[in-house]
Amino acid sequence: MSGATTTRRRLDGLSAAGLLLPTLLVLALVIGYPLLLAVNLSLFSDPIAGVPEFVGVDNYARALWGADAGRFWSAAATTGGFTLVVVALELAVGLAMALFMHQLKRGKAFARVCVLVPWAVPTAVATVLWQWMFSTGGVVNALTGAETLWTGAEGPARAAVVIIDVWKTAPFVALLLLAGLQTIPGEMYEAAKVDGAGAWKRFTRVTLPMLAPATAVAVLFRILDALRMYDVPAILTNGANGTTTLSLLTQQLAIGQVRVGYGSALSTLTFLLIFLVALAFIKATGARIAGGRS
Amino acid sequence: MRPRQLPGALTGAVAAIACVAAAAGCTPSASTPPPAAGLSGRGPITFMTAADPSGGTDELVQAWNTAHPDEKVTLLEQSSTSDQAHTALAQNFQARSDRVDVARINSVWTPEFAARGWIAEIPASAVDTGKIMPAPLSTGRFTGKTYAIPWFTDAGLLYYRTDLVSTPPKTWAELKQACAVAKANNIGCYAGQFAKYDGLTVNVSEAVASAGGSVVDAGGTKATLDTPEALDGVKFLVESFRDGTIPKAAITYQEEDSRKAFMNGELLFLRNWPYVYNLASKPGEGNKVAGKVGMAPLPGRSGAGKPALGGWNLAISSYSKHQETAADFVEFLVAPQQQRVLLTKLGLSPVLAELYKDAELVKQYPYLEGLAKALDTAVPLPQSTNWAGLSLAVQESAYAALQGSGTAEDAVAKLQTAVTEALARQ
Repeated sequence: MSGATTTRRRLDGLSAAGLLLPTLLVLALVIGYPLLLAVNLSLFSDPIAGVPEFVGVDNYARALWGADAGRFWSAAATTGGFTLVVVALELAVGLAMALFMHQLKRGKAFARVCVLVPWAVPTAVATVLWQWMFSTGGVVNALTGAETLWTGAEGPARAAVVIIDVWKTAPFVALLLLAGLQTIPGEMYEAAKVDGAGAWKRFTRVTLPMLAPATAVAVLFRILDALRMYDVPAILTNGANGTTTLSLLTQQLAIGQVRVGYGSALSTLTFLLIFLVALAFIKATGARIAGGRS
Repeated sequence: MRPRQLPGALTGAVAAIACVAAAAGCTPSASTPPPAAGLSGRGPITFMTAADPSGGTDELVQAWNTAHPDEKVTLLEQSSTSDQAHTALAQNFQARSDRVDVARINSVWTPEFAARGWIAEIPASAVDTGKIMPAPLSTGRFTGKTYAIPWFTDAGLLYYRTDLVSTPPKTWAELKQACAVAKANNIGCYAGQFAKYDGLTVNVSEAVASAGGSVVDAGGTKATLDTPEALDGVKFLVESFRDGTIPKAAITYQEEDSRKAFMNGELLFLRNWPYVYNLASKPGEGNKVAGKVGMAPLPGRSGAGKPALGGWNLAISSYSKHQETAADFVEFLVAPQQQRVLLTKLGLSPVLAELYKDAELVKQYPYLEGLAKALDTAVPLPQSTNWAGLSLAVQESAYAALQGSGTAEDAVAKLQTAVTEALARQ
């Protein structure tokens, strides 16, 4: 390797750093600063009268194994459970929608617009609409003929949250997957056909593997989104009946009860959880999401 | 692989910004009570209150502004949702902003706001409270001092169907007997508000009080749910759910859900606030009970119940620069003429005893008489500087029992523990 190339590389690296610097500064300002502020706040107590005192990691201890551990872990379990169920269902429904739209010969644009409508409705508005439909005398009970108390018992309340979230976000997954489907060259199917692969085999051996990068992106987006789920349970049940997610718990304490210190500890823990999950996911599927070739 | 070294630069930048932040005062800056040197300052002020489609609030403010051109009042809109109104005010006070001078606050927030030093003490010389009813007035007091003046009040009432029941029940036993009528007509018997929210705390406190007990002691320092009276109160709710006196759907009811169910003819008895009377007694869309609605005091364990006292107070910000004007404006809002507008235009319940005896008003609003009786016996909601935490504790412990998991005894034991914990956080 000649000296000129090394210098060249060093210059490239420097200019890359220079080009990235503004972005990094902005990120540090809008993400780094609030994050550090929250960590700092989380080390202080929340007296109702008087000045907050430095309490070290007391707030974290309280959440993880102290007096409020029950609430924290139940919210963490609820959040995790919602994430698993919601992402799995959205993937299945989204894939079905994408396949349907992909094989349409006519009206593709129209179908896409129709599918996207739930995604376009603001979550808060959609949740209020569903709240009416899920009320005891609402249309859901009228159609099913049952008298389910959708927001009055644990099972139905959790199901309702899942239904709303899947209804709202499956179209988003569908669109990402549809984009993925369109990048699969038709020749691959032809070749598979010539080799004697049936429809199911073509689906499992060509479509699914070729769709993997798009699927990975969709799943990552959805996992991160679902882990910070707030608006649907906040509006539908306000956390009653086992629907308190981590974000909702944090909001109730930090904002509702003005416990800024403890609330910051909770939000830091939630951040760490999401960060670690994202990291693990990217490590596991890495190259695909980064756009490189495996 | 060079770009990999960039995170180092990132860390540096973050650290630099953190230092700036530290210099700007990273330490949390909550409540340092400002010097309590009485109220001072005159000039234009703002009044934060919920939007009022009736136009009554605008009318009141205009009347004030015409009379006080140098001390004009500007309205700031407040969320009509209690939680959101609390959040907005808390953020304003935490920032020590002088944007809000006078604020409408839920009466249960008074101890918290006073303890945090967010609202100023209102000396007796600043606002004349002589004509205000004692029960609402007590909700504005904290540690023996006045921090807020009641603007309008509220008390829980029993609504009943006059076409099905001739005399309203006075006790819980009578109420349960009357349920036969509901059964014969294939409708629900009784409902209040039992969804998991602040309304549940109100209904539980009311039931406990109506059995002769209380949730916390008068000083707001000790949970008092380990009494036979408290058990009886909780038992009434738990057993009413179990035996069908309260229909199952009521576990999802907030005020409006229960009102709609009653107006849809689905309930014989309803516990709700005074606002329901006008809506339910007059013909209107979706109202199947117009002309068939009676209003009575809530029943209790042995004799009349003890309704919870709701209502909203007026408070003066500690950070206001024109507190003297603010106090004058508060006094103006609770004077007879303005309280009359409050009743006739805004449709809210005044805090002056004399208006409930005003022959002309009583003729126009026949429910005033019943409401006055309820207000006489009403008890304030549990007073605590940690209302939000206390309310959450009550909701969490009571809700499961109402759903049918666990006995009233278990629920009361849990309530006592949870409320004690919440009070420890004051």
